Amino acid sequence: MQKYEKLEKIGEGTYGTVFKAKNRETQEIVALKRVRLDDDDEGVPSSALREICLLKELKHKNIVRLHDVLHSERKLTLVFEHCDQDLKKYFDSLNGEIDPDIVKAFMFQLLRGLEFCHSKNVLHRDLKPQNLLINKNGELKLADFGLARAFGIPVRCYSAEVVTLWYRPPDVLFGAKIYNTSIDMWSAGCIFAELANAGRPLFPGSDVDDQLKRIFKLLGTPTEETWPSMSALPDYKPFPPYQPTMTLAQVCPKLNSKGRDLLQVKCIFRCFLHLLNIFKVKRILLLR
Amino acid sequence: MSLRSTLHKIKNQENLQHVSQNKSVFGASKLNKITKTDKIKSTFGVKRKNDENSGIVAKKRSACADVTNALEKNMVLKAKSNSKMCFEKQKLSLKVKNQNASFPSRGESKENVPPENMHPKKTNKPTKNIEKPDPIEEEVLEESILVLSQEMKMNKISLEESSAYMTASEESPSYVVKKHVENAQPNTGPPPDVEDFDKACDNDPFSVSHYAMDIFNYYKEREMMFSAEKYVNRQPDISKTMRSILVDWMVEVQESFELNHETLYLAVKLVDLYLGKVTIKKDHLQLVGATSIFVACKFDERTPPCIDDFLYICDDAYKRRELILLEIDILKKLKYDLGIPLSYRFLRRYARAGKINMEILTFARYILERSLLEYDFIEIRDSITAAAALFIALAIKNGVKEWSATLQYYSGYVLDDFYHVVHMLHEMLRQPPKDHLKTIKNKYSHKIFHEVAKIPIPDRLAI
Repeated sequence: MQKYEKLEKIGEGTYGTVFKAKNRETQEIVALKRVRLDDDDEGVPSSALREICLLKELKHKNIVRLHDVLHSERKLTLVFEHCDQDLKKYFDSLNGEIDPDIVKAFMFQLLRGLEFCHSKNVLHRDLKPQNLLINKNGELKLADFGLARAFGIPVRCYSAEVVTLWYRPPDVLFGAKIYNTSIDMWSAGCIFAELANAGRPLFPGSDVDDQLKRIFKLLGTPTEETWPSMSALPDYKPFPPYQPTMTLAQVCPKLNSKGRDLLQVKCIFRCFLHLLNIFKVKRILLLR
Repeated sequence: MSLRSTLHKIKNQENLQHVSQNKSVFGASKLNKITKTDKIKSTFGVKRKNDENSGIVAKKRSACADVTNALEKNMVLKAKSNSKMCFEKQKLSLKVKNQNASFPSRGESKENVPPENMHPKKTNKPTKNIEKPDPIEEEVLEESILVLSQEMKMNKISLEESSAYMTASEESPSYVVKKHVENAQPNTGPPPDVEDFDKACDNDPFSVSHYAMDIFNYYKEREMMFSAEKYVNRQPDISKTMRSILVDWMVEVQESFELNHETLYLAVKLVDLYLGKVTIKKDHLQLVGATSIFVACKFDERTPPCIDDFLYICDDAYKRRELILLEIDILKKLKYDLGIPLSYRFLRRYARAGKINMEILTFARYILERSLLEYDFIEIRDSITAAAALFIALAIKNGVKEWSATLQYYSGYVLDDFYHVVHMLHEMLRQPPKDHLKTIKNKYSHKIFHEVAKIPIPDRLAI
C-alpha cells in the first residue's frame, strides 16, 4: 500500500485487522482496517459492507469518521480517523479510580453518538468499552459498526447473535430476534455502571446462563407480570426467583443518587418503552 | 441464453414476437418439467395453478413454489460439487417457513395495518403502568442530564469548546426544537384534526415511535441525493423494454429466494443508479441485476443467498469472478451509499399512519411494484410515487377522492404535489402487462395478496 505507511498493529475488529498508519502525503495518522478477500469468499463480507455504508451516512463527532475505502479484488481497506485509545484500555490505566466528571462527559458523548445513530435508523448492536474510542481531547467516538444494521419501521426480525455477552440485554439473551433501539440502550447502561466503577464490568457473565443469572441476581428475576410474554421468547428457560440482594448504591458506590436513578431506569426490565421516553427527554436537552 | 438472449433479441428487433420464442429466464435445463416455454414468463403462470403444497405455501407467499422446489432439487443434484451451498439453501427455506408460522418477519401477509395486530408474538410487551414515564423519574433524569451536560463544560479533560457539544449533529436537525418542551416532543406535532399516530404507537416498541418522525424526515431529505438520472439515451445497448424484463426477472428472484421487498426495491435502485453512471453491454444487464440483488441482500437480509445461488439463477451465464468484480464496481460507483430511502417504506408509513386496511395497502403495493418496471418512474421521488400509489389504490377501490388531512400530514404532500404521478400510474394500470412482464400481476393475483391484481381498473379516475 503506497499511500499509507503501516506503523503498528492496533487490534482486531469484528472482521478485520486494524493497523495504525501514516498518510505519506499529509503525515496524518490514521487507522486502517484491513480485510483479505479470497476467491472462495462471498465477495465483500456483509459486515464490512454494512460498516462502510452506515458510516458513510453517519457523520458525527461522536462517531468514528471513515475517511476512505480502498477496495481491490484481493483486499479491502477502510481508512478511519485514528484515536489514541479505547475505553477498555483507558480503564486499564485507571487503578480503580475515576473522576465523576469524566464519567459524565463520556456517558454524555456515548448517548449523543447513539442518539444520532438511532435517529438515522441505525442500530449499533455491539456497544462495549473496546468499541468506544477516546482521544486526547477527551472525545469519545462510537466505533466498529461491523454488527450494525439499518432498521425499518416497524422493525423486522433481525439476528439474535448480536452484542458481546456482557452487554447483551436479557431479551436477546433469551433469543429475541425482534428488538429496537433499546438493544443499544441496555449496553449503554452496562457501560455507564462500568464507567462509574472505573472499569469493573457490571455483568461479567461466563455464558448465556451465567449472564442472565447475574442480571437477575442484581435486578430480581422477572415474572410474567413484570415482563409479560417473557416465556414466549425462543430460548426462554425459567430461572430461580432471585430477589435483588444488592442495591445499585452497593453496586455502584461512586455514583451519586442522580446517577443511580439514571442507571436504575436503564436496567429495569420494564425499561423497553420507558427507555425510549427517557431518551426522548435526553435528546431534547442535547439538541437545545 | 435465457434472459440474456431475450435481451439481445429485444434490442435487435424491439419486437416482442421474437421474445416469445425464447426460453424462460431460468433456462431450459431447469424447466424440463414445463413444456410451455413459448412465453418468457409462462413458467410462473403455469406453476401457480399447480400449487400443490398450498397449505404450507399459503404462508410462503411465493406463488412460484414449484420452481423454488425444482431449484432446490436441482441443487441437491449438484450437491457433490456444492454441498455446503445446497444444504444451507434448503435449511434456509425450511427455516423461513417455520419462522413464518410464528413470526411476522417476512410474510407480508402477516402484516396488519393496525399497530395492535402488528406483532402477534411480541417478545417484550410493555407493562400497563409504563404507558407514561413516571413524572418523578423523568424529572430526576432531566435534571441529571442537565447537570451532566453543564458540568461537562467545566470538565477537567480539555473539551475543546463546550458549545460545540450543544449542537448535537453536524447536520442541523430537520425540525425546530423548542427551548423547553414539557412533553418531550421534538416535532411540532400534527394539527388538531390529525391523530398523532406515533403517540398512539407508544406502546408498541417495534414501531420505534419516538424516532419514526425523525427517521422519515431524514429519508425525505436524503432521497434527493438519490434521484436516478435517465440513462437510456446514453446506453446504446440498453432499452426501456430490456430494463422492464430485467426488473420483472428480479421480482421472480425476490419471490424464489423469499427476500424482503425492501431488498427488491433497493436492488432496482442500484441497477438504475449504476446504469446512470456506467455504460454496459446488453449481455451484462442480467449480471448487473443479479449483482444488485446480491449487494442489496448483504445490506438488508439476515441470511443473504450465496454467490452460487446467484450464478445459478443466471443459468451459469457468468463466472463467479465477474460477479465479484461487478460487486466492487457497483459499490465504488455508488460510493458505498446504500442507505437509500425506498418508496416501499414510505408507503408503509403512510398506510399505517392513515389506518389503511391491508387490502388497500396490498393493492397500493402491487401498483408500486408495477411502477418499478416503468423506466419513466425512475426520476420521480420515492416518497411521491408512494403517495400516488396509495392514493390511486384508495381512489379505485374505495372511490376516495381526497387525500386526507392525516395522509397530508404524514406524507408531507397535498394531492397537487403528486397528481401527475397518479395519472402516470393510471395509464400504466390501464394497459395490461405484456405477456413477458406478468410476474407481478401473477404474484398479486394470489390469495395471500388479496388477489388485488384482479381489481378492475376503470378507464377514468373519478378524482
